[in-house]
Amino acid sequence: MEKSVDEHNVRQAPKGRLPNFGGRSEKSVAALLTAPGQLVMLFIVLFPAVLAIYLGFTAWSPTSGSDVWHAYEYWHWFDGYWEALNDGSFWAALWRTVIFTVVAVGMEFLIGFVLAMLFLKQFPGRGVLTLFFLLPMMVVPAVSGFVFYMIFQVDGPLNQGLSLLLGRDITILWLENPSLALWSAMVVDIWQWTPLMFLILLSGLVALPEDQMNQARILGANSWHQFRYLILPMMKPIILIALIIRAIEVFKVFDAPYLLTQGGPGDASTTISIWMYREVIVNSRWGFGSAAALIVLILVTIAGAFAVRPIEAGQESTLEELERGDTPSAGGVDPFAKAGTEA
Amino acid sequence: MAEIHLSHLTKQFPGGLVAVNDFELVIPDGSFVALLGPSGCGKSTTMNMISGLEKPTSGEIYFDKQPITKLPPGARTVGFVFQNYAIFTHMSVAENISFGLRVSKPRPPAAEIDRRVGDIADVLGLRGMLDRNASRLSVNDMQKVALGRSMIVDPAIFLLDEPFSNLDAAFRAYMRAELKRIQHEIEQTMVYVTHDQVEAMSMADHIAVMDAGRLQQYGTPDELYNAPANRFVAGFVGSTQMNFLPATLTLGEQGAGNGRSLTLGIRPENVLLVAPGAAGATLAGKVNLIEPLGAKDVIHLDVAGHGVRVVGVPGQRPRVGDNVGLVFDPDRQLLFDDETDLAVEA
Amino acid sequence: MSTVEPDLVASRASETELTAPRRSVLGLLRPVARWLTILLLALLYGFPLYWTVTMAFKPLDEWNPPGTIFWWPENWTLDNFKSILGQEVSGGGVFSQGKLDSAVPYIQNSLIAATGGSLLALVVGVLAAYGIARFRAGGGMLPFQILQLRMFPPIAIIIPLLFMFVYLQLWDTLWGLVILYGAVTFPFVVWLMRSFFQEVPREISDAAIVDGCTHWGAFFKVVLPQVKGGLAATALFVFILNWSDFLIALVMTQDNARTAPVFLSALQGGAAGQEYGKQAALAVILILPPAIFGLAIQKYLVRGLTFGAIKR
Repeated sequence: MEKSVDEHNVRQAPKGRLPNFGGRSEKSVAALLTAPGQLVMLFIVLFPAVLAIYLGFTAWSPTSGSDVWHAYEYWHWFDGYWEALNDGSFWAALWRTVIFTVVAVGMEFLIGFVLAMLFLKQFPGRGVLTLFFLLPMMVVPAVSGFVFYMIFQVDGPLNQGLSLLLGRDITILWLENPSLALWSAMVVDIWQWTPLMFLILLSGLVALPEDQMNQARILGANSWHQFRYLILPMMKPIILIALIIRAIEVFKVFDAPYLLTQGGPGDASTTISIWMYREVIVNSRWGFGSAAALIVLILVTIAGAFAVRPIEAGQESTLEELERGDTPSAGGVDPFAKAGTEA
Repeated sequence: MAEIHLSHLTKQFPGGLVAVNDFELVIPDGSFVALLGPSGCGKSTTMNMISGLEKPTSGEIYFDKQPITKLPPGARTVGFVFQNYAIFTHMSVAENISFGLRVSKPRPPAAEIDRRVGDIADVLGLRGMLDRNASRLSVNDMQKVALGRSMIVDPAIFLLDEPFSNLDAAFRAYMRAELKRIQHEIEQTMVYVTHDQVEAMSMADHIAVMDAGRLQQYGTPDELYNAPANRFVAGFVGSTQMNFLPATLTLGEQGAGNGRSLTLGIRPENVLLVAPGAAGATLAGKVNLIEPLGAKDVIHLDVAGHGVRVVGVPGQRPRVGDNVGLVFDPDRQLLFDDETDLAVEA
Repeated sequence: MSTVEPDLVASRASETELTAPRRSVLGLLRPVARWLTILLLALLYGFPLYWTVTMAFKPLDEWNPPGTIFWWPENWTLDNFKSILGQEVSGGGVFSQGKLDSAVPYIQNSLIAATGGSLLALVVGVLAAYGIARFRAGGGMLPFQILQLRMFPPIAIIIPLLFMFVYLQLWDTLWGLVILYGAVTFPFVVWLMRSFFQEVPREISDAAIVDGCTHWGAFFKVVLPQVKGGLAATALFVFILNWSDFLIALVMTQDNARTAPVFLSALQGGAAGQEYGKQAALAVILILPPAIFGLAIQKYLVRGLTFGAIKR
C-alpha cells in the first residue's frame, strides 16, 4: 500500500513572510549585542590604560601642585620606568609574589589532589563532607584575613594548640616575624582556595572513562599502576588548566597579606600588588607607580600568552565532546554522577 | 584455556533488582559460548561477575574446578573486550597492547615485551601502526587493538561484550568469521555476549539464552532453532519471528489433559501457501502485506484475526488481498503450554 | 525454568596459575587510612570557621584573656551581634575609644553595590555572551582578550581609575561602585554565559526564526529560557564575587560608600583594637550570603572559577 503525496503532512514556510531579522543582518545584530560590553571595556580598561601609560612617562603626583591635565609638565620620558627597573624593592616584591604563587598554588594542588583521590570512591557521608570542604572558598576574603589574623596572634589558638600538643609553651610570632609573615599569608590563601582545586580535580577524576579503568584492572593493574599509567596522564589537561588559572589569580594576591600585616612587618609580605598600592596610594607617587604597573602588565601578558592556549584548547575540546554527544551536557552536573560503584 | 562453571550465580542490586537469578552453566574448555538475550536480561552482569568487576550476591564461579569468586579481576587472567573497546586513548598502539605485560609481576624485559607485541601485531595485522596514537585509528583497527591487548596476557578465558555492535555491517561479518577462526585455532574458551541472535547462531558452539536473569535454554544453535525449550526461546531465535497461534488440545491420546490451553508455534519457513480449500490446508487467511527481500518474500497474512508471517518463494508470490490456504509442516509444529510457557511434547 | 543438564565435557588441566588473594591486613588498612586523612583535613579546614563562629558568640572576657583560651564559649551571648548591628549593649566592658559604630550602613552599602553591580554585569554580559556564542562576534580573539583582563593585577587598573573617578565625582559613591563592580565581573558573566549558550543547539533559535521571530524575539522567547539554570548560577556567582570585593572598595570609597569588608578590616587593629567578638559577629554576617548562594550553585562553581574551561 502506498500513501499518496497529498496525504503527507508537508510543513510549508509561512507564505508571504520571509524570515524577519528585524531588518538587520547577523553581523549587525552581533555588533549590537556586544556594543554595551565593549563600551564598558573602553571605559574601564582602555581609557585607564591609556591614562596609565601617559602618567608613566611623568613624575606627576597629586601633591605636586597641578592637576592631571598638566601632568605633562612633569614629563620625564622613561625615567620612571628606569627607576622602577632599578628599584630593589620592586624586584623584591615581584620575587616574593613569584614565591607566593609557586608555593601557594603548589600546596593547593597537592592537598586538593589528595582530597580528590580520597573522595573518588563512594563512602557514607561523602556528599555532606564535600559541601563542608567547599565552605572555605565561599568565605569573603576580608573575613578569612580577619579569621587568620585572630588565629595567628601570639596568644591565639594556633600557638595555644601547639603548646598543648607539644607540651611546652609555643609563642611563635606568625605575624610579627619577618621571615614568617609571607608564609602566614600563604596559609590563608591555601586554606581558602584548596577547595577549588579539590572541586576541579574531583570533577576531572570522576569523568575518567570507567571502562578504561576496568580494563586496566582486568589486565592486572593495581592501584599504583592505574594511577601512574591512566589517571595521571588522562588528568594532565585538567591539571594544567587548574594550575594556570590559579596561578593567574594568586599572582594578584592582595587581600591576605594586606589584612594580616599590611604587607609587613616592613616589606616582609609585600607582594607586587601591595607594593603598587603603597607607591600609589600611600606614597602618592602616581607617575612612578603607573610606570611600574605597566611593566608588571607587560610581564603578565607575556606569561599569559602561554597560559591561554591550554585553556582555549580545553574549551574547544569540551565543546567537541558536547557536539559528539559524549558527555552529559546538563547545565550543572552532580560531581559524583558518573562515579561507578566499587566492585 | 579453562572450563568455566557458574554455580547458582545470583546478583541482586541494592534497590531490589535481581539481575541474575540462580544461574547455572558449564562452559566447556575451548568452546565458544554465546550469552544471548534482550537488553536487561542479565547477560552483561553475568559477564561482569565472571571477570570480577561485579561480586555475586551468592553462588560460585569455578575456573577448571578452582573457585575464583573471591579473586580480584587482575588475578583471574581473563581477557575482556568491551563494547566500546576502552582503548587507552592517550597511549600508542604498542603501549596499549603491551599494557598487560608492563603491569605484570614480574615485568618481562623490554626486549621480550617488544617481541610479543610484534607477534600479536602480526597476527592481527597491526604491524604498521604500532607507534600511532591509539585514538587515531579507525573503529575497525581499534577493535583489533582491543583484542590484541587481551590476547597478549594469555588469558584462561576470553570475555567479549557485544564487541562488534559498533562496526559497519561488512566488517562485522568479516570479524565474526575472523574471531571464530582465531578461537578455533588457539582453542581459547570464549564467552560472547550479544543481543543479536544472528550473531550468536553464526558464531557460537553453544548458546545460553537468558531472559530476566534466568537461563532459558542452553544448547547448540540447531537445538535452539528446532527444539526450543520454551516460548521465549522459540520467539527470540530465528530471523523471521515464529508464529504463535492459540490452540486447544483435543486429542486425548498422549495423556496430556484435554482441553488444555496451548499455543502452537510454527516458523514462517515451515508454512506453505496453497490455494484456499486445497487438501491439507488446515487454515485459511488473507494476504495483507508482502516484503520482497530478494532471495525470499515475507508474506504477512491475516488468519482469523491473527497475524501470521510466511516465508515464500519469490516465484510464487501471491497478491495483496488474495485468499490463501496454509499448510503447516506437521513435524515442525511446536506446542507451548499457556501457563508455563514450556514446550510440550507433541 | 527449563534447563538442560550441564554438558560436562572432560576438561583439560588449566595451565594458568591463579594467584592468592590479597593480604587482608592491607585491605583493612586502606579505608582506615583514608578516613583518618579525611578527618585530619576536615579538622584543619574546619577550625578557622569554628573559631570564628564560636568567637562571635563569646562574651568580652572570653575573647582574648591573657594566659588561657576558651576553646568553647562558656557563656553564650548574642551581645556581639547586637552591638555590631547598632544596638546598645549594657555592661559592655572596656572599649578602647568610644562606641563601636554600627555596621548596618556598611552592610547596606555592600548589598546595594553588589546587587547593582551584578545586575549591570549580567545585562551587559548576557548580551555580549550571546553575541559571541551565536554570532561569533568580535572574532575568536575576544575570549582571549577577556582572559587577559583577568590577568592584570587590579591595583594596576585602579590607579588611573581612581583618578578618573575623582574627576568624574564618582569617587566614594555607590554609583561609582556599581559601575566598577559591573565592569569587573562582566568578563565572568561573558565566560560563563557563553559556555551555557553554546550548549543550546543552534537549531532552536533557527526554528524560531523560521516561524517568524526576529533575532531578538528568538533570543528572549526561546534561547533565554533554555539557559535559566545557568543564568541563575551566573547571577549568584557574580553576586558572591562583588560581595566579597575588598581592594576596589578599599581604594574607591571612604566614608560614604564604604562597604562591609572594608569596615571589618578597619576594625581590625583600628581604634576598636582587639574586639574580636564583635568583629567575628560581623564576619559571620558577612559570610552568610556567599555561603548560602555558593552551596546553591556549587554544581556550577567549577565552570565559573575556571572561566568556563571546565564544564563538569
